[in-house]
Amino acid sequence: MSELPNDPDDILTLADAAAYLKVPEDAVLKMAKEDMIPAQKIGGEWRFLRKALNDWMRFGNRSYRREWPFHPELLFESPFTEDLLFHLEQRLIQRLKAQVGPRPGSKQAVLKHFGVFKNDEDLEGRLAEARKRREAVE
Amino acid sequence: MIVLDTDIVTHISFGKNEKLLKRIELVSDDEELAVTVITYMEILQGRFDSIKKAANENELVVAMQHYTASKELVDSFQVLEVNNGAAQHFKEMIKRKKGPKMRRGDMLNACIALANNALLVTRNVKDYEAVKGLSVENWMD
Repeated sequence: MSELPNDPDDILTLADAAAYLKVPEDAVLKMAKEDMIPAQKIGGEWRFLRKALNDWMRFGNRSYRREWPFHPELLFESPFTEDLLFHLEQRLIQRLKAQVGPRPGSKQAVLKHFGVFKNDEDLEGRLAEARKRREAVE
Repeated sequence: MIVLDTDIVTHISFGKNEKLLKRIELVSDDEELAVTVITYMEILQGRFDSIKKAANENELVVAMQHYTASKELVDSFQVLEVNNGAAQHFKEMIKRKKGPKMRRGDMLNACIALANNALLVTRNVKDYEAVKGLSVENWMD
């Protein structure tokens, strides 16, 4: 058997993997064939990622089958999650408020535009025009 | 709910009337300031006309800037459309033969304000005196 690599991202051969897990090669080969252990067959040879083997030892088959380690609903029953969600909601609300400004219809929203034409327009002319327009509606 | 008439919205845009400013500042935070779809139309119609009438590129750019500023102003209000309640008031008003004649724009404003139980703020209080049950105030004089 070759000297075992140390980097968790290194690739192991079947012999390496068996030695690393301290089990016979036959056992690892059987599990690889039955998709019970994270492994890839490349050109007729089985290869194993050390990190994937470590995760598999810790978390079982879910580690490489992209399954949740618990039912997702359990996440929402945790008091920690409630607090976390509350803080995330507050941050989102603050961010949205900063983006959209005051609510339309509030005096703050309206007063932002107070005097928007104070320098560049003829007030009497505009009022007369508006009045004329309303006459014309009839 | 407080509905501001077109003349008041125009005065807001010119920002020269201190009394109007003070009065708006007194509005409570949870009160809704609104314009009717009639005012929305009247304010923007003049801007559209200016864009169409622009004689050169400078006038066109200025007309477009004025349109944008006016649009932002009217969009800062709640915009009230003609709902079923307003249509019902309209039906009653056009049936009525007695009393002074009203301009259609004033009538529609009044109908929308009544349907929303709103106070109508205008400088032209007289234009609305024929409307029963409508609260009207002048915040400028």
